[in-house]
Amino acid sequence: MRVLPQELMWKARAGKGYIDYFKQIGTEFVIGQILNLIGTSSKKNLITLTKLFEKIAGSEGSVRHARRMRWLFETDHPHLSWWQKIINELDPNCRNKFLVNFFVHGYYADNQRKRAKFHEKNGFYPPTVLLSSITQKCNFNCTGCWAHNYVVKEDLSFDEWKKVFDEARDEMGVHIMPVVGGEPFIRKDFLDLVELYPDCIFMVFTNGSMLTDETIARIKKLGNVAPMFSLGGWTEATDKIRGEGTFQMVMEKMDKLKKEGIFFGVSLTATKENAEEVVSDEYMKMLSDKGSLWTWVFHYVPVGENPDATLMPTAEQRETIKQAVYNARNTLPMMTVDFWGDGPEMMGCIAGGRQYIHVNAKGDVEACTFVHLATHNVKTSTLTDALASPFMQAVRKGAPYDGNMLRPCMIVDRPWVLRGYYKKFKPYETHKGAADYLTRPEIMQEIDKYAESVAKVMDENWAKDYYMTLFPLPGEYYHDRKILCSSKVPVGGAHGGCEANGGCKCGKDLSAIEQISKDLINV
Amino acid sequence: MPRQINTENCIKCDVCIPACPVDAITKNNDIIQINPNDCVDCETCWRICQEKCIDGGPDKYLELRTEH
Repeated sequence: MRVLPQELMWKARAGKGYIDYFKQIGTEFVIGQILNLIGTSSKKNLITLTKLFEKIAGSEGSVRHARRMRWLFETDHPHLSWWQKIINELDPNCRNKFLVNFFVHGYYADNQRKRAKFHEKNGFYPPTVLLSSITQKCNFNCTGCWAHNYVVKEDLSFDEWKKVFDEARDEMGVHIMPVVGGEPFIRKDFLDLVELYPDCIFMVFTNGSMLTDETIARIKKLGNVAPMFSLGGWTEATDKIRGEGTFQMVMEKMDKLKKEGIFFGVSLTATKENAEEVVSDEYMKMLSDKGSLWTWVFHYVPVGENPDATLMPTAEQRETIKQAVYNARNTLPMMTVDFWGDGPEMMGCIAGGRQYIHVNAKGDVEACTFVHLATHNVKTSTLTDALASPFMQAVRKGAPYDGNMLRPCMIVDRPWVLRGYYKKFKPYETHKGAADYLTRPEIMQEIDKYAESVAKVMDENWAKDYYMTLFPLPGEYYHDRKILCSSKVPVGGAHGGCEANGGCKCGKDLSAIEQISKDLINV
Repeated sequence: MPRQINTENCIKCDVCIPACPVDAITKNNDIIQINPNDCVDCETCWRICQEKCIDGGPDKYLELRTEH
């Protein structure tokens, strides 16, 4: 199987003594300096950078990641253009903060040591990502959003959030902190909080309306904030879901951020109504041209009180989204991620602390942004206690269920699993109606029907190996959305769509590439 | 629909017992059983059983699930 088990991924790299430790810290520093000095956007320099990454890698998973990047760079994959775009077009402070905080702190270096320590002490690995709903207040009221379901008298205080972030960073080695809500920028002390964590990257999911010139100037100075704009299609579709004039407003904010050189992205929510639109080639190209460096494709999940289960993208639409995202990621200089279709990369469901955990505005520790059930609150316990609860343990232990990671979700793809956990562990609902999708027969019936239709499509794809991980593995090339990856070199050079991207030229010395591929796989 | 173990093929390697997220698998008198009241049908045991003696997997999907 192409997908490796989770344990292998996090296994600490052998032979890391104290000297190695100092070497590692030194190299982290050096990487920051190199990024500062260079104009290191040339292919050669970036390949050198991946070698340096391999040196500081603290786990076997990160060694593999560094080699994979090197392979992509060697063969002119659009991922190379993504790095070049970041290095050439971003403000130096934002660029360094993103690259160092996300890659070096987030996945490579010293945090792997903290993770191993945490594992030794608690018997399980901590998540790599902490999602926090910093506030539940929002000036928008979008279709499909649950923010207004919560009755929050008071969001967690500044000090309470500080306690959560401190624990996550210092004990678990979490440096990647997506922030959702509500609208995070509504909270006045939010950026003061961010300022305390210069070694973490905050990906802030925002409607864009609160990004004033002042806020943008502050973000540029901080460097560790990456706004992610929520969109739902072209003008008409976005405005219908999110309110009149939203699309135009977001476009203007994107132009401003691009001009300032701030790292930003887009978060799309695909529903049955807009799925084809949001993943169309034209739309993806537009986002990339506008300067989006990261595009998330989320799917509508029928959460909240009395949700509309018929709005979920159908099984066929999910397949379309999956292929479109693969294609965009492998042809455009934009990191594009499909929340469900990329199950194989994440080795199945990431909830419950397997890769991420969600703390809501009241402090309840929820297994997933879409599972509003909790057993602990950070006001009265620690994140570690919450992660050690039998409910979270079960969520982590069960995935990836029967092994088919194209149906990773315990809410909509395997609803009986979450219903079983709910019955057995009795977590509390974090707002009224939070368990509606697990208990109300008419919604359950709709979700069951959906799960069955998804299984028909995705079980066949899984059996035929019709899926890929984020990028081609060493020795493989991306062709197109029908073939996906293979070890055959595509006609006209390396990697399907990168010619359009200004990347590859034909006639390269393939024997050298073959040798590199062998080295990367065998070392 | 809870899973069942085909006791004839079971080699009693016990790997499924600690793997179950809801502790529904027990060993009594040298026979491994799945407690139908606890089973949440996640198919983890099916995935890790080397002898393939547990119901489940894609082929079983419709047969088992239509009863839902």
